[in-house]
Amino acid sequence: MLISQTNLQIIKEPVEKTQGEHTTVMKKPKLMETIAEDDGALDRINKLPESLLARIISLLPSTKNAVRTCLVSKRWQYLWTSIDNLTLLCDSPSEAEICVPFVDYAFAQRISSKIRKFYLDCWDMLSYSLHIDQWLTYVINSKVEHVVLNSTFFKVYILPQSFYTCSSLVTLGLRNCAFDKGVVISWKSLKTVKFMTVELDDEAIVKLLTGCHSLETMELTYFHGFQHLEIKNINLKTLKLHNFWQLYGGDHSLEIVAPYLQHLVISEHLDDFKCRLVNVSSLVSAELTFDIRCEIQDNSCRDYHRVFLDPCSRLSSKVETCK
Amino acid sequence: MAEASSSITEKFFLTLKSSDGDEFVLEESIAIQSITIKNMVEDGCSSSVIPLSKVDTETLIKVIEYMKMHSSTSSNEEEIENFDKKFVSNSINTILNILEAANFLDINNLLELCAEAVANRIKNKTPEAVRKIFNITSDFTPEEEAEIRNETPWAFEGNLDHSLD
Repeated sequence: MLISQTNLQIIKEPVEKTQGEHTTVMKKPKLMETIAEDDGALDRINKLPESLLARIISLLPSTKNAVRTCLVSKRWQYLWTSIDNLTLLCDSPSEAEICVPFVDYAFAQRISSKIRKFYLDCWDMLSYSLHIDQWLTYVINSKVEHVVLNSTFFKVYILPQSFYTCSSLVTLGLRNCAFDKGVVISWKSLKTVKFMTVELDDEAIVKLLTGCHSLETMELTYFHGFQHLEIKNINLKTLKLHNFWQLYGGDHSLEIVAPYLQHLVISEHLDDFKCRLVNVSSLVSAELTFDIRCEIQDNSCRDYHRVFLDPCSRLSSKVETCK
Repeated sequence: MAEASSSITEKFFLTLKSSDGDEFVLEESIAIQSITIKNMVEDGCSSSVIPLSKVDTETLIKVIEYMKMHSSTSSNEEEIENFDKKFVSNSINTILNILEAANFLDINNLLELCAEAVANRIKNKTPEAVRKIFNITSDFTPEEEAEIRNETPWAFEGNLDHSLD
């Protein structure tokens, strides 16, 4: 804030002395003179239609960055209200404190009917759930295609009712979020899910798989809560599992039945997790790079693990990477 | 579909004419990456010269270079990636010209590439730096500017980039 103000003064009064990093700003002549240097550039950006300018600022790294362009000139002042990509980074308590009221304000100002992407990085989504529920309702009505909800603090945010039937959704990323019990999921356009520390019990997994017929890729990091993964979705070709969440109690085993699956990745730390591939008959590639804690002391250890590895090694001619 | 399959065995060529009057002969399979041109071909307007009144010669040369590199048959992924990297290092004015041409010709990948290149030039910059990069004069009074900063103080906090690089 302080830096911006200093800079502002320099522009208004170029004769004022300054030092250090602002020296380059000082050397610049007054704005009217820079125009004379290259008026082609000025014409160029002014000729660009507003839709293209909005497209450019939609690609800035954050909505905060896009909003900041409102001060460039009067033509730019309200451009940010028509961006189709909202990237909100409230990743610290102090940032969330100012960001959340601003986002409420921003939604009220918006004029674009379409929101393509909604990315929310929030240190504690649960504390702001009343706000976030409303934002999600808004983006669903705007036919959002890509949603990432990343709650960094380990308190689970439960997705609001309106979210489970969002038909425009194509990709969904969640971290520290959960599904409400008893809901019906219907994400008919959803192709990719990427979940991290999202609790999914057997019932939730079934609901997810039966409600997403277009699903092509499922990636679960720190997965836990389900023992049976039966994938009947013919479009779902890629399954990636990274890190079993061993802090979680209960049964540490998983049975995978996925006759249409073509690509399987299992990586990182599985601890004492026991995984059994029951049917992966269409598998084309498998990347198995996990480590596992085994407490079996005698020779039966080999037989025990074979249950897992056999379905892959049988396909050895087709398997690209199988460690 | 019948047209598409016949173009595999027999090459068709189109003539594109820039706003400066220069003509460029290009294989149809390459040119139809532009949806605008593709629609013209499908409507049977491609037998004569296709006038591109909104694209000057310098820009059209760049657009053709891009389409040739991105046509499915001739280049591998790494070549395309290196080409794109070099392509976006053109001057900001050239990129803006290509961006507008890509919008007119409806070449979505090229439009996205150019929009991203411009966004990268102004990301995390102060409003003052953005003005200088585009040579824009602020038409706000100091009072108006102060008022906007007061309305949305959140947007102007944090580490901002003052440089023009």
